[in-house]
Amino acid sequence: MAGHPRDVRDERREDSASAAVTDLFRCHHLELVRLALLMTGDLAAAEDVVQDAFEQLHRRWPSLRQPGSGLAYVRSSVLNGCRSMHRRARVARKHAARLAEPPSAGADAAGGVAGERSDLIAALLALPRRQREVLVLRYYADLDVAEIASTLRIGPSTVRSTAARGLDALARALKENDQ
Amino acid sequence: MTDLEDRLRAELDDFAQRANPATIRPLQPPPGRAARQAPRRMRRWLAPVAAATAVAAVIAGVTLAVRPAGHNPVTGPGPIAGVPPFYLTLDQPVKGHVATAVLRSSPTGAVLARAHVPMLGTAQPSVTGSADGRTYVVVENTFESAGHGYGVRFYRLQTGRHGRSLRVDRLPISTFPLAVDGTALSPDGRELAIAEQSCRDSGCQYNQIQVRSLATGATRTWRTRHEGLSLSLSWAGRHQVGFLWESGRKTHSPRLRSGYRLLDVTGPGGDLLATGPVVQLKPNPGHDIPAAVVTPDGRSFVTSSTRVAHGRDHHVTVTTKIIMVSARTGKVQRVLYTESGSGVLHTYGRTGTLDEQRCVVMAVDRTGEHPLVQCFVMGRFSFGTLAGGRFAPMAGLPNSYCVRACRGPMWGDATW
Repeated sequence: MAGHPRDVRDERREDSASAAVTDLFRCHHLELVRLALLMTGDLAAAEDVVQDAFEQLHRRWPSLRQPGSGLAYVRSSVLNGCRSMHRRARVARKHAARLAEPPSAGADAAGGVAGERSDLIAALLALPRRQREVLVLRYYADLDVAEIASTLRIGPSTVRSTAARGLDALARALKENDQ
Repeated sequence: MTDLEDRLRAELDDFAQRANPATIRPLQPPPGRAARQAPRRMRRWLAPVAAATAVAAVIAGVTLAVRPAGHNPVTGPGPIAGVPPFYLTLDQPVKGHVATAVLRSSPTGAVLARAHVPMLGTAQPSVTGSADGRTYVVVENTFESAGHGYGVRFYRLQTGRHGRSLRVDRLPISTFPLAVDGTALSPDGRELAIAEQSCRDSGCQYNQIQVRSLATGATRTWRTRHEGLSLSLSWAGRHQVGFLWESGRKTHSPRLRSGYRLLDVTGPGGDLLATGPVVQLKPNPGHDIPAAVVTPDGRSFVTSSTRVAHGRDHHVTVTTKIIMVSARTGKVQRVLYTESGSGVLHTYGRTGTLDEQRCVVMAVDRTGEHPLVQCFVMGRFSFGTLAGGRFAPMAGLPNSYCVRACRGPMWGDATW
């Protein structure tokens, strides 16, 4: 038996949201996990961040002004999640250095990801957050300047200057390693 | 484009490939409408309540984290460096059809998550965990071959973020018609090693260790037709499985003798006893061969040994030790802990029998320095970990907590 018309409308809207988010999830889950992995260096944390981003997208789907912007929304959520993770890790290191094992240990055990970085990746992960984000979006996600600006909510000129500074810093770090 | 840009693009691609369908957990698409049962009106106030609870939990967590061990009201190991952040216990009630898995914080003992696993009253549950504390496999085992019992069921428990939840899934594994003698989950939680035995009324035909991918169901099998039992499985890294081979008959062949062994599981399968034991065992009358857990680097086994000195008038002194044995030379490298007690043993009394006096090593951490152990010496149970030669009871549990092989019908297990 059909319920109240408003309930039926709500149900249809939720079904449509679920279908759209599920499609996005199936098509882009892996690439977003990889993006988060490049931002965090930790596979387990990357998986958690992406899962959270999709849950958030599902909750907010009805309020998205442009349903076509779902991927951009979830990509921003993933980057935000990575930032939060770094903040939490800093707090945890500060307050609980004596407790249990260090945060990276789980990642090492889980996938051996953190322990086997090239000099270049290590240098990238050591860059300031904004530079790292811009370089990963530019050289891994292949976004153009306008897309990076929209994702990070910064101006196109800031994207260009940040990318240039990031590349300089990488070059310096590699040179220091060689010496 | 500069050389650096080219190199950056290539190395980013290469690094990102480490996340691939074979290495990442199969995450679930967000739940649809049917899966969410809370009505909209309820969800509206659940969100702020959940947020407030989360904030309170964070504040409480930080408070507990910075509180010095001496002021911690909960008995337990406190902040021991290197101890895994969680430990999981599995309890089966005397009567009932569920076992309860409880995930606790190692430093504080706080219950992080709880889950119920369907379990027959006659079954003995065991649990094995991955190295990162994210995945566990619970085994419901009647220890009977399927011809006489109903077999074995496997359940996977996956922890949520920060161990705040436990999700239970039945694994589609059938060991029929084999009996299962032991299991161990690989460090990455993706493969399960299962010790199996094919027995009929006329006798047993073979033993095998099967390594099964939990993602694809693909198996690799190492088998032997020699009489014996393979027990006490554990992983050394992702390429070796440590196990105890208990030979069913006296043998002059060093290759077939009882002992702790390391099985290279990188190949497609083969002979279970192709190489001899790395630690040969001498008979210890009155005692079972103790369980041993190989350290993650494969260099040592952590196990126990028990000696009983008999005095006058049935008076005995029991000394049990947790030891680290070299997987290369078979010699004792270190004594991690010693516990002793003396008195008169009463078969049906509180002190237990001779063969019950022992410590059992259930799991080890990354270094092997902090095994999870249960001891029973002269009537006293203790369950905890070791640090600097001292025993530290696990936080959040009563001092006399018993998890495995307890006296009476209670049976359970625990792991990091």
